[in-house]
Order: sequence, then C-alpha cells, then structure tokens
Amino acid sequence: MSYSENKWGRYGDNSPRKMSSRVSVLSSQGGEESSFSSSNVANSHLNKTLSKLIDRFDIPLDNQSMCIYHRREKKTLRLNKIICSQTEPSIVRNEEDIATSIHERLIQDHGSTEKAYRFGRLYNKLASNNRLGKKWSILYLLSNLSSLDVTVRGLQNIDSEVEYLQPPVSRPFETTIQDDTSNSSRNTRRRLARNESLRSNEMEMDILPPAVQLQRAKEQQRSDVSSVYVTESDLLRDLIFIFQGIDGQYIKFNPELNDYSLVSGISVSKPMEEMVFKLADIGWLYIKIRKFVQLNVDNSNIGLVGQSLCAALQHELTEYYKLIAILEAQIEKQIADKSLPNDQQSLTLKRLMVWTLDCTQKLRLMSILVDVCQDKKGGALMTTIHNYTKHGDPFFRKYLTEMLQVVSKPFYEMLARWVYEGELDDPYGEFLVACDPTVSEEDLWQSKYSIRENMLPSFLSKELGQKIFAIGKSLNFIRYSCHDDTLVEQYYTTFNNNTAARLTFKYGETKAVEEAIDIAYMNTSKALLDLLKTKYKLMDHLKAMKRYLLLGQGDFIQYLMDVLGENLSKPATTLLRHNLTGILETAVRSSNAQYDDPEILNRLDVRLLEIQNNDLGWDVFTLDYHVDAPINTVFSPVAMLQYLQIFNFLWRLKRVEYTLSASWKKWGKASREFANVTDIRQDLHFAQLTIQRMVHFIYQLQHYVLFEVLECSWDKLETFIENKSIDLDSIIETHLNYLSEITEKGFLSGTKEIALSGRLNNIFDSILRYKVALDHLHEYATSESAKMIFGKTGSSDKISLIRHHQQEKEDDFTIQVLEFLNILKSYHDEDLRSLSTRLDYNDYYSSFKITPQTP
Amino acid sequence: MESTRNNEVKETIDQMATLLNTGLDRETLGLCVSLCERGVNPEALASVIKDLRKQELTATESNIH
Repeated sequence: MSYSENKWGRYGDNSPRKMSSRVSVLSSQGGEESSFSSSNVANSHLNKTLSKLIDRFDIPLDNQSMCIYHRREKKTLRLNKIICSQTEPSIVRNEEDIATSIHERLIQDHGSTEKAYRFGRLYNKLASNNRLGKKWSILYLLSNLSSLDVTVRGLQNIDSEVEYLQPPVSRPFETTIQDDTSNSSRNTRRRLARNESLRSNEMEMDILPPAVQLQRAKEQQRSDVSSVYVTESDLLRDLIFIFQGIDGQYIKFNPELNDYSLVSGISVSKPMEEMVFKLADIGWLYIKIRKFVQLNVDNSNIGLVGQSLCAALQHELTEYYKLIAILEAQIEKQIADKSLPNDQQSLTLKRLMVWTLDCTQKLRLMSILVDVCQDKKGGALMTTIHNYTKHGDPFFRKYLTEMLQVVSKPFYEMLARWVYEGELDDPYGEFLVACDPTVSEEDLWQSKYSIRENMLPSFLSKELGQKIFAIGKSLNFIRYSCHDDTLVEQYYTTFNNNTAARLTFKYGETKAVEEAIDIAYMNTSKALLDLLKTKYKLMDHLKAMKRYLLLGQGDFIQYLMDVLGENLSKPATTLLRHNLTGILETAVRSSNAQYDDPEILNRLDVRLLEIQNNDLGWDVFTLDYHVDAPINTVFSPVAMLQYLQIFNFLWRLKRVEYTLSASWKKWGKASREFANVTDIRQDLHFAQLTIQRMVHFIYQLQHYVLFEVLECSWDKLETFIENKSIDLDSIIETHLNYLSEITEKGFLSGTKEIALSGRLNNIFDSILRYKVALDHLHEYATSESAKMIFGKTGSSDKISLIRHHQQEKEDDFTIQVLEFLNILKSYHDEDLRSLSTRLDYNDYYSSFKITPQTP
Repeated sequence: MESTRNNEVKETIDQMATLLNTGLDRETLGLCVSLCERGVNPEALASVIKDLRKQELTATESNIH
C-alpha cells in the first residue's frame, strides 16, 4: 500500500505557508506519484477529521484574539507535519505481530490471563471481520496509546538492512508455516513457564537469518493468542491412534453418530477438519473389520470357509499394522525434532492422505466383504465374493482374487477328498453334498446323499456340480455296497507315488478343476459299471427278469401252466406254498431253465398275494425274484412292483390262451365225436366259430404284447446298457423308462389305458365264462351221444337252455370286443392302430351295428 | 446489515481500547480509525494524540492556577 503522504501536501484552501510545506513534503518524500484529484478529496477529509479530533480534546485557548479557525488550522498543520514526517512505522507491518505483542503485554501486566483472553477474543472477532482494511495500524495505535507499563516490543524494521543480508532462504518454509497452526494454549503456558530461555533466545535473534527470526517470533507470539488452535502434528498423532481404533485426544468416537468427531472446544480450520474426518474414516473401517474378525474367529457357525476369510482379513490387517508403525515412527521423530525445519519428508495431513490412499481402498473393500458375508457359509460365501471380482478396477480384481484363493482353500480340500476318496469331511455343513447318516446301505444311491444347491460356488457350473456329486456317490457306492476298495486304493497309491497328479485345486484355475473332475468322473463311472456288470452280473439279472417274470422262457411257463393249471382253479385257500415251490422246481428242471445259472435260479420263487374272498388260485399266484444290494439300486422296489404287475397281466393272458387252446383241442374232435348227435351240429359249428374268434383275438393281443411291446423295449434297454451308459444314474433311469413303457403299452398304466385294461379284463372274463358254457355244451353233447349210443333221446329244453347260455356269452364277448376296439381306434399310436387293424381283421367287427353300451 | 457490522466493529475496537487503557473515548476512537483507514501512519497519529493530550494537560494545569 502506498502511503499517500503526498496527498497531504494538498491543502486546498490553505495558506501559502502550507503550500511551501507541501512542496517541502513532496521534496522530502521524493514521493510517489498519485492522482491528485482523488487525493484532494482525501486531503480535505483528512483535514476535517483532524480538526474534529482536535476539538475532542478540550484545549482551552489562551489567546482569545486569534480566530478559532486559524487556531485550529495552526494545530492541524502542525499535526499534519508530525504525521507526514513519520511515514513509515518503525516496526514490521504485521497485525498478528502486534496482536500477539499486545497479548503478551496484557499477560505480563497483571499476571492474570483474563485480559489477555478477552483481548484474544476481541481480536478474533476483529480478525474475522473484513470491514477494516488496516487493522494493523489501528492496533498499533491502540497499543501505543495504551497506558500500560510494558512497552510494545516489536521486531525492528530491518527492511533497510535488507540489501546487506541474504534473501530469506526458504519460501516453502514460509508457506508451511502458514498451514501450521500455532501451539495449543497448553503448550504456550508450558512455554511461558520456561520463559527465560526463550527470552535469551530472543536476544540472539539478530544472528539468525531474518526468515528464521520471523518464524520464531511468530511461533512464540502466536502461542499466546487464544487457546483454540491445535497443532497439525498433534492431530497427526491422534490420527495414528484412530487408525488403530483407539480414541485420540482431540478426535473421539461418537457412538450416537457412529462416527468420529473432534472434541468440542477446539477449533481447526475447515479444510483441515475435512481431511481429519476423511482420515478418521480409516479408523472406523478398521474397527468394523476387527470386530468381525474377533467375533467370528472362534465361531463355528460360520464354517471353515468363513474362518479362512477371517484369516485372510487378519493377514491384511497385519499389513495395515505395518503401515501404521511406519507412520508412527515418522510422527514421533518429527515431534521430537521440533526445532528442525520441515522438509520434504515431513508428515502433514495432506501427505498422510496420499500415503493412506491405498490402504483406505483395501480397508473399504474388506469392510464391504464383512458386510456382505455376514451370514453366509461355504460355497454361498464364495459365490458372493466371486461376484465382486467382476470389477473393472484391476486393483480390486487382484486383491479379491488373492483373498478368494485363501478363502476357497477349505472348499477345494473338501472337494478333492470327495472326488478322490468319496469321503465327506464337512463338519459345518458347507459342502455342496450333504449326507444323511440315517439312511441305510440299501438306499445309499438314491437317498443318502443330496446336493445343496446354494453351496455350489458360482464359478463352477451346475453340470460340474452334478458330476462331482455323482463321482463321490459312486465311490461311496463302490466302497460300501460293492465292498470294493480297489478303486480308492488305486487312486491313493497313484497319488502317493506321484503327488503332482493329484491336483490341488485352487481358485482361479476353474478350467483345470473342470478337466480333473471330468477325468475322475469318467474313471469312476466306468469302474462302477464294470463292477456291476461283471461282479454283480447286472445284465444277467435283467435277462433273467425277462425270462421268468415277463414269461420269456416259454417252455418253462408252459410246463408251469400245465402243472399248475388245475391247482390254481381251486379256491386260493387250499393252496399251499410249499406245494407250489415244489412244482416250480420240477418245472425248472424239466425245461431249459435248468441250464441257467444256479444263482439266478435261486432267486426265483413263488409268492402268494393277499387272499381275498372268493379268490381262485389264479388270483393270488405270482412268481418272484429276489434282489439284494447292490443290484437293488437298479431293481428298486418300485421297479419290482412294476415287474409283478406286468407278470400278472401276462399270466392272465396266458391263462386265457391256455384255456382257449385246450378248448380248441377239445372241440376240434367234437364234430367227429358227436356226429351222431345231429341237432347240436349247428351248435358245434357256432361254438367252433366263436372259439376261433376268441382265439384270434387273444393271439393277436398276445403277439402285440410279446413282440411289439416287450421285445422292442428290451432291445432298447439292452443296447443302451451295453453301449451308451456311462453311469449308474442313467442305467436306473433307462430301466425305469423301459418298465413304464411296457406298462403303458400293456394297458396297465396311464389313465386312458387303465380303462382299456378294465375292458380287457372283462373280455378275459367273458371268454372264461364262455368256456364254462362250452363245457356245459360239451357235457350235454357227451351225454347226448352216450344216450344216442344207448338209444335214448335227450330232452330238448336242456339244449335250449344251453344254447341260450352260449348265445348270451358269445354276445357278451362280442360286445366287449367292440367296445374295446372302439376305444383302441381313438389312439394315435401306430402300434395300437395296427393292433386294432389286426384285431378287426377285414372289418369284421365294424360290420356289427350294435351300439356300444356303457360299461 | 452493514450498520450492525459496523457497530460490531466499533464495539470491538472500543472494548480493545478500554482493555488497553488507552483513554480514548468512542468518538475520538472513531476518528482515529477513520484516519488510520485513510492510511495515516499510526505512530505519527499516536504522537499527535499524545501531543494533544499534553497540550490539554498543560492547558488544564495552567487553568487551575
């Protein structure tokens, strides 16, 4: 700022004396040029003010004669002269200086700090006010006029000596000082206590370079100003504590806000406050993570994977501790060497922010993980973390991948054990395979193990999960049900000899994991199937089933039927099981079945179903085939039931066929036998025709069932098992499909089909009833012929009765067949349509105009 | 607004002056402030005021007698 002293040289309406003084003023100044026009106004103002000032003082006038105005003028002039003569103050123009000096004076004056404190407050108020431009001068004025004892001590104005001294060394030195806040009041008092040394230091001030002088003085004097400033280094030290989760002196944890806040009563500049809060965030994150780790490190609910997460977090926190240790060392050193000037290595809030940037990010990541993994276990935990690795920032990706590698170790260990040994080592229920220990050995395949879908990590596909499941299950199956440890031992020895072959799975090597699992899957399944086929003769059993339960072995069945035929026609209660088994044995021995494997024959048995009222033997008799582990996984109880159902059906069919063929044989001779009984010749003819129709029907049906249904399905099953099957599950599935196909096509299952089967049963019944009627006819014919021989004639009403009976049964049969055919025609299945064509050969039945009656 | 702030400032300075026992009353202080704002050298102004005071003192003394 330029002192516009030359303005004062302008006395607009003043006497020439003042003019000369103006000139003298100008010349004495060698003054600066300024715009005279503006200075005019200022000048007159100055004068006016001066006069007013003079008036304030009650100076009586001794010389009454002089005009008041002139008197005042004189005074003004004189004062002006004084003012003009001293243009430059003798001390450095610094308001803080002055303020601190005043402050000190006040302290020293009364030994009480109250005044100083008040002054400090006032000064603060003044300092924040922008209205006054030249506070310094005001303060200086006040201090000069103050009637306190101690004089102001200021730094000598050394500007004049500047040329001789070197320029101040450190620019940055000064700027950092600007950032630095003065010492706290605590420190100040301490400092004042050891006043003497300071004082002595002051004396040597001239020796030090001016900039250092300045700084020293500033620091000292500023320390006496109000006790509201906090040093940066104090804050830094506090922050170091905060980083470790401990409350600092000035920054305390406020549980209401769940955040850090400065202790009230101290004031920090706004930007510094912001930085402090940002850095305090780190401490908050740290506390959160530490809490989580401590809570869960012994907690078994979180499982092994969760614990490895805690371990990984703990490891990261150790790294964090290292950083804090470095910072702390730095801070301590800095505080200890306070006298050294700050240089590039010093720690400031800004530098701290930059240095902790990296670790802030990491801590933030960790706290996110902590939040997200609160209640998750095992594979689900890994899935969650894995989702976060799909981040664009490579830093995050790398960090999370590393963490995930540690976290997924237990999972992969479990996986390796399961896949290579079939052992489920899962104390906390984290693996994707769950074991139900209550299930017995028989049900091992089906129900003992199940997949936990949510424990499958998202980086392993679902098929892979299925494969893993199957492998372990197969291994267990082989071990326990097949009592074969060779496979597992083989794996074990291979891996012991060649440890590299047993791949330790790691996160991130998903492809390698997949390949390894594929190979293991192939091997295990193959081993399992080989075992089943060779040691346990799966195929043989299937064939045996077909031969016996599905009536494949014709001669055996025929013999059985022959022998059992009469027995079964008796009521069921008369049947004795051991009789039947005996018969079975003889049947086996007398047919080709005797050449079969004794093991298979041993399993063949007779069973009697529950006996209900009025059951004939036919209704309760059935064959049975025993299966045990491990074959019973394929021949499950459900499958066996279906076999029995089919057997039942086929057996009835056979029975009808048997009956009809017997009748056919009988009646084939009848025409010759009863040639002499003329009146029944037509009956005989009709009977034969009917029998023929029935036979045709039954034979077509049988053909359909035996060839198109049974054989085709069997063919499919056989090819599949021989060639395409790769694991046990597929075999079981195919087997069940095979059976269900048979039952469907055999009219035994399926809603529509069951209606048909009902009709078929009716047909069978009607045939059987017809046979009874035929028997009557036969008896009659026999008796008639006998009578004829003996020359008697029979009564005609009997024959009419028989005829009526016969007619009735025949009609019944026809009706049933018609209905059956009607329904059959509604199917779209090719086989069934061809069946209906064959049954209704030449559209014989279609020509009947009989409308089908409701059943 | 302006005037209140003005008043605040005046108040503050006045308190400071009393604290420092300068012996200046409000109006004088105001004048001094405005002079300082104008750029007057405070040392000079201080000596002016001291001078005036001395004059006053001598005048009152002489008046007493």
